Amino acid sequence: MPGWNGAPIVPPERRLGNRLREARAAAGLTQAQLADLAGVSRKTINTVENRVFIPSTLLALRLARALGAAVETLFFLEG
Amino acid sequence: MARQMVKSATPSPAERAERFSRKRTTMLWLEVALFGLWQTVFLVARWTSPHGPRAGVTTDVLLWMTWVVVLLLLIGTGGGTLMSREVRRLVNDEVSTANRHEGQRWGFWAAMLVAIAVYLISIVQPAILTYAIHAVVSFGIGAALIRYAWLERRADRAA
Repeated sequence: MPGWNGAPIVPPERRLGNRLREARAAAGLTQAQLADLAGVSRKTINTVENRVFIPSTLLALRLARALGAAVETLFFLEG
Repeated sequence: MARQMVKSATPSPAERAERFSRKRTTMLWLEVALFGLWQTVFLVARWTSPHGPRAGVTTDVLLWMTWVVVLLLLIGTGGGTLMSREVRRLVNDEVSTANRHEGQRWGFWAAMLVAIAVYLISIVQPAILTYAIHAVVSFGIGAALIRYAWLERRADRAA
């Protein structure tokens, strides 16, 4: 559940971390190219990379497929 | 050749979606400011009228109702109805939809709180029904718009 500023209020051990930026860079893709591959906007890619937005399972799977990676290598529970 | 140049100059759906998204954020803030100003002018004019607060359908009430319907459509759909399906899908993708839903959540709670406040006030001072509804709807829409605009601006800044 988001707080007043939209940031999720969750204990640290339940935060969703991601390695999307690293995986995208390793694949040699720009945010716009990854957005095209995943069928989302560049804003979505950036907000996920910056952890402003927690993606749904569906979006996480689409991003993983677009990068040819397993979803659990891209997203993980912190803590 | 010329045809190819025209084709390459045409923005892609992703580019059009990004532009529209930024314009929409600006428009949301503009709507917040104009809607707030309108409510202030409307209520001050009504309450300071020599005839006192009154019910009844007048031009300003009709304008307000039209505006409310437009804003509800914006909060309900995210806009972009005149754009192609592809652009609309990108404009209202997961982030924007989540932001819009969060705005709707704020709108709901604002409307409920104002409704409770109006109800309590009406116990000691009878309220005109149209004013009560006006307050509930306006605060609900205002809160939803502010929250939606705030989250969209934050997402645009991150991008």
